[in-house]
Amino acid sequence: MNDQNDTTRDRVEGLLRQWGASQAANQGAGELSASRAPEPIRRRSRVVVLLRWAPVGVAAALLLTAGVLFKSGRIEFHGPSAPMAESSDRPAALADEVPRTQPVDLSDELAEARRQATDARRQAAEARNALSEALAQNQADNLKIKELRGRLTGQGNQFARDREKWTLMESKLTSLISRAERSAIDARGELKKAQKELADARTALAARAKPPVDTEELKGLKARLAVAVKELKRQQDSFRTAYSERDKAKQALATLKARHHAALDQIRRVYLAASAPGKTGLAALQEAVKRRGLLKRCVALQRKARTVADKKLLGRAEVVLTRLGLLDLSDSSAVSAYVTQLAGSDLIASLDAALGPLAADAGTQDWLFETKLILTGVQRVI
Amino acid sequence: MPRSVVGVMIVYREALTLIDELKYADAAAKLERVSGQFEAAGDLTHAAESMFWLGFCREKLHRDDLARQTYVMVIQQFAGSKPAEYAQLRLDAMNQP
Repeated sequence: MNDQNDTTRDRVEGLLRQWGASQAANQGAGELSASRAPEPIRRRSRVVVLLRWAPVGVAAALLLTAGVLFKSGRIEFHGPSAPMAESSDRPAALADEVPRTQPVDLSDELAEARRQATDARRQAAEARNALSEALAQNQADNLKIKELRGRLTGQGNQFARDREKWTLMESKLTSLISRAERSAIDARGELKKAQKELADARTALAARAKPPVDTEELKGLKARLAVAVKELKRQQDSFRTAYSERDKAKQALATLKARHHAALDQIRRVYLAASAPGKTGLAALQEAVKRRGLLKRCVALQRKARTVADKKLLGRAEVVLTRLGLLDLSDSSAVSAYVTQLAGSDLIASLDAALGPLAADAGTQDWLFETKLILTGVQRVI
Repeated sequence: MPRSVVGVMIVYREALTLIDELKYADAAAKLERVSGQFEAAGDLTHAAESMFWLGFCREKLHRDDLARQTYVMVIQQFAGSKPAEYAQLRLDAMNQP
């Protein structure tokens, strides 16, 4: 439409130029004729006057038409009220069209855009900070886990050594107790025998109805009885000592186990806080299995495993971890079946054994340890 | 639980015990039956789980193509479920060199 307006303007200007030229020509001719004969003008006919003014009329009419067209064009596209009236009917692409003929105040939009950009920058900075904090926290957690793991591994090794020592001691004491019990039984038998012999001797002496003359026999019997009583007392003391030692060994072992479990609980709390933030119970363990990629790592370890025993242990742990991951926590019977099955298996003990100081590389050690944390956690959270 | 599913569930639990004991062939034989039965009974959760474990057993038995097909079936038929997620994980692990 702007092209159309320009064309109309050009045409009007052309006509005006023609009219101006013809007017100038006519005026020139008039002046010439007036200088020669001024009188005939008054005598000109109406037709001549009409013909003379016709181009002016035509030009004026054209000018008027062009003006109207131009105005209507402005009203249609650039008028101050039309865009508001038509804004709902116009396509979206035209809605933002900036009128050419009027300056538009965009300062509000600009200010709004600046404000939004500032907000976006601020939010991005906040997100970056939060990310940095989370990464730092994660790093700190990992370090703490590593440190605790090291400490726990040390404790675990010490625990294994102590357990071995105490188990050996308990076994020795049990054997000692058995021997002491057997000796005590023998001593009791001896004692009973001596008592019986003494009683028989006394009966025999009484039957003779005369004062005991065979004092040598009686003395011998009394001596045997005293020896038997002494032996019985010694065996009983030994028996009591052995029992007491065995109880002490058992108690020491139980204390050691409790300390070990407390340390394991502590490290599990840190581990789960880092691996499954905001979750508790079995859900936290499931999340930790997923987030720590225990199953993916297990597949890689299985490929590296050399011995059948290692492959078997990894395979068993893989099944148990997969089952944990798939466990529907809202299905109490499934949860119960899983926990019972895990409690009845020797998997955790096997992991413990594999976690000894001679276990393979650090990656395997880490995986075994994390799996142990998860599986012992199953029994602790129920 | 509907009575029709109770029997299937017993077989399924037996299969899981066999998997725990790494007896994959025996477990697969049981799972081949139960997956369809769960689905027929409308128990889609256990249908998906049993199909996943069937794929797992096949993978462990080195029947890789069959295992992949089974995992893909779990992913397609039970999209968005935990077994589908784990099937994808196993597939990814199988595809790693």
